[in-house]
Amino acid sequence: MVVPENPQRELLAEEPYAEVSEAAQGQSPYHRSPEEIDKLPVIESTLTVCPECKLIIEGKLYRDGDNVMIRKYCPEHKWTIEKYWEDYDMYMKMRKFSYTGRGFDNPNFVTSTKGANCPFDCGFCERHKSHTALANVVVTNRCHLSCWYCFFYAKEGDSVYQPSLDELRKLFRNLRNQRPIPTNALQLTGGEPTMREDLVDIVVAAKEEGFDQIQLNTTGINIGLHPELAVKYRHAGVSTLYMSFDGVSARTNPKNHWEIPLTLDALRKASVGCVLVPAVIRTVNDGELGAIINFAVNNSDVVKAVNFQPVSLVGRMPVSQREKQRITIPGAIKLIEEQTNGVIRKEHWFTVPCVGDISKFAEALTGEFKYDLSVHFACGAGCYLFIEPNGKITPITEFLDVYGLMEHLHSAINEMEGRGKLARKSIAAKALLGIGKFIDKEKQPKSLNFTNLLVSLLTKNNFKTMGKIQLKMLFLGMMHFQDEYNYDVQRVEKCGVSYAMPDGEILPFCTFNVFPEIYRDKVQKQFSIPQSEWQATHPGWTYSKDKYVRNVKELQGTNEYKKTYGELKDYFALPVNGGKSVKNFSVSDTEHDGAAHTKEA
Amino acid sequence: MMAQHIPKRRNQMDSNTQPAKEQKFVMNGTALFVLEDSKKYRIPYHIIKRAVFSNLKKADLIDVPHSARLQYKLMLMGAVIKAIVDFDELKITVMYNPTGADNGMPKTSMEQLTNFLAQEGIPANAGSTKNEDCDYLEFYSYAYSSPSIRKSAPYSYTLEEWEKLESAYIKKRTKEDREKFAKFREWQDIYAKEKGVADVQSAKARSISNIFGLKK
Repeated sequence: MVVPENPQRELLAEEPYAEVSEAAQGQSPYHRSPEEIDKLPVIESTLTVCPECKLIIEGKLYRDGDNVMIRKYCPEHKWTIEKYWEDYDMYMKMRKFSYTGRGFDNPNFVTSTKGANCPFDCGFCERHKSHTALANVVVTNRCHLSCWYCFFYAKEGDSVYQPSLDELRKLFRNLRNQRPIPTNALQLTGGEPTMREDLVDIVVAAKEEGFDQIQLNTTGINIGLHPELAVKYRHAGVSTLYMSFDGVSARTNPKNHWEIPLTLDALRKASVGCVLVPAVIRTVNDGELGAIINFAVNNSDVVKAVNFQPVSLVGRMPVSQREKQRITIPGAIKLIEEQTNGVIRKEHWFTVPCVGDISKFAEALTGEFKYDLSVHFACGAGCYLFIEPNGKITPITEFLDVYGLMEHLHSAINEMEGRGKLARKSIAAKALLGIGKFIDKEKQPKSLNFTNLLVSLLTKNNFKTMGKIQLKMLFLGMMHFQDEYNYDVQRVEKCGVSYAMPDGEILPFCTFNVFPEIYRDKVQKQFSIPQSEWQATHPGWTYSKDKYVRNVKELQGTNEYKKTYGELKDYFALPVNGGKSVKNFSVSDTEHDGAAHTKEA
Repeated sequence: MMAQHIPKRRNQMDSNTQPAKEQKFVMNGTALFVLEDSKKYRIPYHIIKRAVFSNLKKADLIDVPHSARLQYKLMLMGAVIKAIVDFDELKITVMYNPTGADNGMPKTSMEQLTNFLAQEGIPANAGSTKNEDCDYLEFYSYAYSSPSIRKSAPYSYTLEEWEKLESAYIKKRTKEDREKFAKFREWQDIYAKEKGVADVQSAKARSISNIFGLKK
């Protein structure tokens, strides 16, 4: 597909000089001298933070070979160099689709600085440039696991953060009161939300407050072990589980490898879907990205999406470790291309704001506010896979010219501006009649009438329509949350994933979690229940009773386990998909060394 | 398209905010709750202090990035609830939990704050200072019922066009939300029968309480 020229899109900076200097060849981008880096072409400037002292400093995004790097200089702590985006061509292509959204008419935190001290003026402030697409609400900091890399859960002796049902309802209402677009999608998170015995009541409350979509961010373990919970949560209004899944093998997924089969089975019986969420770290689980997709395809009756999350590097990290573990969205996309033998290629992915014209078209036609994904292009990417009855995997962009379609809609939107209702309908009808030319009907899966589905999406643009599409597809997402090394204030200003805090403020993900010392941890501590008070009101509770200890042999002996891992089909080895096995298809299911929560029976 | 109409602005950190409506409080040990509509909400503070250091020198604040970092450093202090360092107005505002406050949270004093600022290059006798009581609930209440400071219109509409469409939109959304909720309730009954779920009445949402448009 050729990306069309679009002078109407925001251009963030001049196009850079394309050649890379000879001196830059062959060296690791992390180890170049400042003098060498100065010769490399700059793409744009942004604001960022010094990872050491948090001074807001200028960051330069520049090209180094195939990489887009960020460099920043603190007068006290000198240079920090980090990978921003591991594919220059993809960066330049996706950046054309960036646009500025609306933010909030009623920001929760208004001060005299008007957001000038971003990201330390957060709450949301009036400078924010996107509405909340998905809101997270922490319902507890208790967790039944103690993963070494996690900072979210309560440690022994810590106060317990667990808002009451009334307090949660107040948070929900605050999200629904956002204007011009009330939050419509909610994710209940933790800790582990299923630790709450009143989770059903919480879901009911969220439904009463008007959320269409309610997700549970969970390990899935409690649901696997108590399948009746899946039915109760679904009945109360849970739409989907957002479930951690770091790999197909026990080595890469010590968190819930053994329970996943039980969880999937419970979800099947309860008719509720899930999103698998792998945190991707180079040298840890980056060899199983294709295998994870294959696993999802095998379970596509209940797995609706895989949302890869390239790692955020929290805490002080030496350059050598960052260099070893850092992976960005295009890095993961390229690994998927390799591991799936080209069935899912990098050109099949599109950046999130690219589909903003769908919402804008629906708004221009109807005069009604619609969900608007104006997030920064570097925050996320997506790819829809269609799985046919014969096992053929077809990415949507094989038969749909996504960029061409968006350009087509963009023209119609511009034409509608300033026109009356009838004229808008006429322009929209003409545009809809023309969308067929962006669909290659030869390559379109035979059982799918994509034109009809697309028309429905463009005219109705509601969750039900999206649900129809997703029934026939597996969505692959990429979402890269920031850390202090690659921090970009422009990305934060456009963030669409929020956290609602108990003091009434609502924050973007990458301020809440990147600066927890002044946001997440600070405010949760203010509203936490001291352990002494918690124990007095929960007689018999102890910290250790919250912790889960698994019996690996017992879990491995279940029929669900044997079926889920033992009867996996390699879809990528099918002749219709090229006939070559996905990488690491035959990962061992017997490795369980090092899993912190295991014991032998 | 962004609107031009801007209602009167109220900053949360300023001392001229409207006082919170009369509230009732309940103490349970060291835990403090505010009562609203007969419901209890845990709050960490009630009467706190607002320190304002104004007429500061540009040379001391240096620039916006250094002001932002100073703001971050102030916020690191456990007793500081919120801090704003405004380079343009040459002013620092700090909401803090004072020594002697009746709560179990970290505390500090004006003296400690001014010493801290002095260490950060803001002389204690710089400009003018004010240190007054304030109600944490003003800040909390604002965040939970933030007023509009501007108005937006859907893409490709001007504000004038939108103002003619808005009431019909709210009416339509209200109707749609009610219908959607009613369908969800019907689906719950069907689902409960399919899955053989007993005793699910308590899990049924009673009514949709926050329909778009009804709560400002």
